[in-house]
Amino acid sequence: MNILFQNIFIAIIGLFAVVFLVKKFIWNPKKQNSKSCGSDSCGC
Amino acid sequence: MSKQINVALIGNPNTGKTSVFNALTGLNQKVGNYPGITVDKKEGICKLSRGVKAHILDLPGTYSLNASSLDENVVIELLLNKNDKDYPDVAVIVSDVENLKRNLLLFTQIKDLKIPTILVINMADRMSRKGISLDIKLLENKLNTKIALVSTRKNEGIGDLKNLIENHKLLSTQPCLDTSTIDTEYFNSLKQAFPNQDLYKLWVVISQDANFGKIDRNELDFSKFKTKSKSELKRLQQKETIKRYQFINGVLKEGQTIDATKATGLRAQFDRILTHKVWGYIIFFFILLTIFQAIYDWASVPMDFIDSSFASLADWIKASFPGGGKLTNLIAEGVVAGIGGIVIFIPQIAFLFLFISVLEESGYMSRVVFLMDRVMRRFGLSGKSVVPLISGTACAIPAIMATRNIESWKERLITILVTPFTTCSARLPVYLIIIALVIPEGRFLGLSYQALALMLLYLIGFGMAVFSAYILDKILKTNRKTFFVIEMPSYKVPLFKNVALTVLEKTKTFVFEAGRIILAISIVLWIMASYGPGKEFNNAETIVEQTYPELQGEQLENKVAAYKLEHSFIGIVGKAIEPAIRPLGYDWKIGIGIVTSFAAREVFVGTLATIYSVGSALDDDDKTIKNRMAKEVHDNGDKVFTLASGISLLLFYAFAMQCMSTLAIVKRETNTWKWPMIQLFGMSLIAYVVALIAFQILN
Repeated sequence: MNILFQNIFIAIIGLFAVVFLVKKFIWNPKKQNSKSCGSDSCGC
Repeated sequence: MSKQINVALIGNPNTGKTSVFNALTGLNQKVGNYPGITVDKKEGICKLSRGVKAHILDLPGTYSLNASSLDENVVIELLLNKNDKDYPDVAVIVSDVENLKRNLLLFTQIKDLKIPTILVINMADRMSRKGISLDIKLLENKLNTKIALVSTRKNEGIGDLKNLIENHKLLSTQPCLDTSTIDTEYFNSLKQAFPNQDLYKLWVVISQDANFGKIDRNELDFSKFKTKSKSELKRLQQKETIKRYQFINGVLKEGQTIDATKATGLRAQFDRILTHKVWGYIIFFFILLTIFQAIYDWASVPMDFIDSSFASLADWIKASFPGGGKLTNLIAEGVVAGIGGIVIFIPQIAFLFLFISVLEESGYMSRVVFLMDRVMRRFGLSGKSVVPLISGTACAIPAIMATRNIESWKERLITILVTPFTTCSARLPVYLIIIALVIPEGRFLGLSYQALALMLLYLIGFGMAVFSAYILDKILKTNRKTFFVIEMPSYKVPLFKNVALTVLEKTKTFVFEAGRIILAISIVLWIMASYGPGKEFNNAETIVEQTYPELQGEQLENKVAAYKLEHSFIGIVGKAIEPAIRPLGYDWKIGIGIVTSFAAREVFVGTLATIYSVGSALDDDDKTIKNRMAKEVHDNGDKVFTLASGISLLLFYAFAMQCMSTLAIVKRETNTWKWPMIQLFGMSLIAYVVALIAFQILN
């Protein structure tokens, strides 16, 4: 396969991996429940 | 269209609720999370008659509707919220035939919420052995319910239970008792203030310590109603409990007879030995020793097989697509190696959960928790912290997930923060290779120095966990006093189906949750190691050929690969951090290993294997990674791996927080980045300081 295509393909795979990690660890679109579950301020 | 009945499976812990769930749903089950919190949500489908299905929700074990833990909140929140999509058409309350009195407390509370309720009396096969007989008709009349006498062990009574679920519309919603009699005046004023609300539901909401996501008592308009103080509400709760037990005692007096002469005292005898203040610990120590020995011995065969299979697969891919270039390398060295890095841990995780599940199912785990509470409490931990700390020896991820049953947030948080200090299996390959390099092969009292060093590292890890817990206990403040209550269930022969399902579910969680992260990181690392900026990376061949004109063939290829790695993105990172790690005795190559292993520790050995497999002469002695590492020298000719740098590296890995998956799990469990960040920087700082001191003293 052409080297350029290979590099593009690898870049896309890498991008998917980075986006997955960012979504997993940094940017989480899910809203968190802000309410306390108990009286000891655990924040969970 | 098929009809679906929503069923909530509720019960005290250790009543065999999960066994009933497994019997009803078989393999048609899945585990998720309740939205916004980290309590496992187990649900499954049970086929009833033609076209009718039951959606079974296995709710966390709870003793009553007075919530004290995260798990119990989930039960109350669901039962109070008719708008919840999982709100039950019928509640199935699972009780244990030997503990009916205590189990019926929760039953009467749920019955009073006017939810159609079925009572399952489980473990019916033990009745004759324990001298218990029940008048089912009488109990059904007194409790206004239908009863299914079930034995999941013998697979009896499940058909009756399915029939009852299907005919749930015939069930009475009549409450068991009138709670308002505990304080008539108070309940009357409550009724006047909220005429449209169900009185018992109101009482449950008002009397809880907790706020609920969907049913917030602040949303109720209390302006027309003067509520009581917390202590007065607690007193009323106690009064309610006493009233309920009086009712239950009355019912059981007529409906249950126990022939004490038939009951054997074997359980008490076992308990005396297994919870003994000396023998209890010795037996537990030997059980642990056996488990870990078995994990390492038994897991090594499938692990070796997986390892060699993935290596063969990578070789096959490279051989099948010789002209594939970088894409082939990405698949062989990045994707396949990444998947292999996940799959290789399956045997250890499966074996660990097999043993934990057997210990739990047999009833022994509750004794261990009781036993260890005496020791752990002195260090700010509870007996329930023992399970995570033990599990942490295999992997911190399931260990941290196992902290969910610790009611006290402070104890739970401390356990979460200190668990990664225990020596997980990912540290093992790092320890083994460094020990082999720097610890001599001699023996002391028949034990090899290397084995002793390895044992010492395990002890250091556990010691640090306990010591950190002690310090955190002094630092973290809480306004809640903790208490520890544990139920001692009867000893049972573990059910194979339950053990198998637990192992399957836990392994699946590891592979699909942590696995995806490890795979993504492997791909990113491979790209960072295979690409680099600037002329030095792109013109590596020409530069090396000019610098080392004497090199030919494989030696030249290796030198080019080493030069490329040094100038790749990952090499640049390694060089950038070299000044910071030099005082610890490490070079930039070890630096790369450390950087990559912040994703996962086990990556360290793989990274070093790649780095040290290039750029050196290839005589027979150098084919093993150990020999190549042993020959590695600094620019001034000094050896890289000496006793000082080796010990420093071992201690660094013993204390550093190098596992992104663990950090992700801590974030998920605490719902904030604050604690994983404290853990990451705190542990890394400890690791750095200890490694620095060790190197400077030993060097």
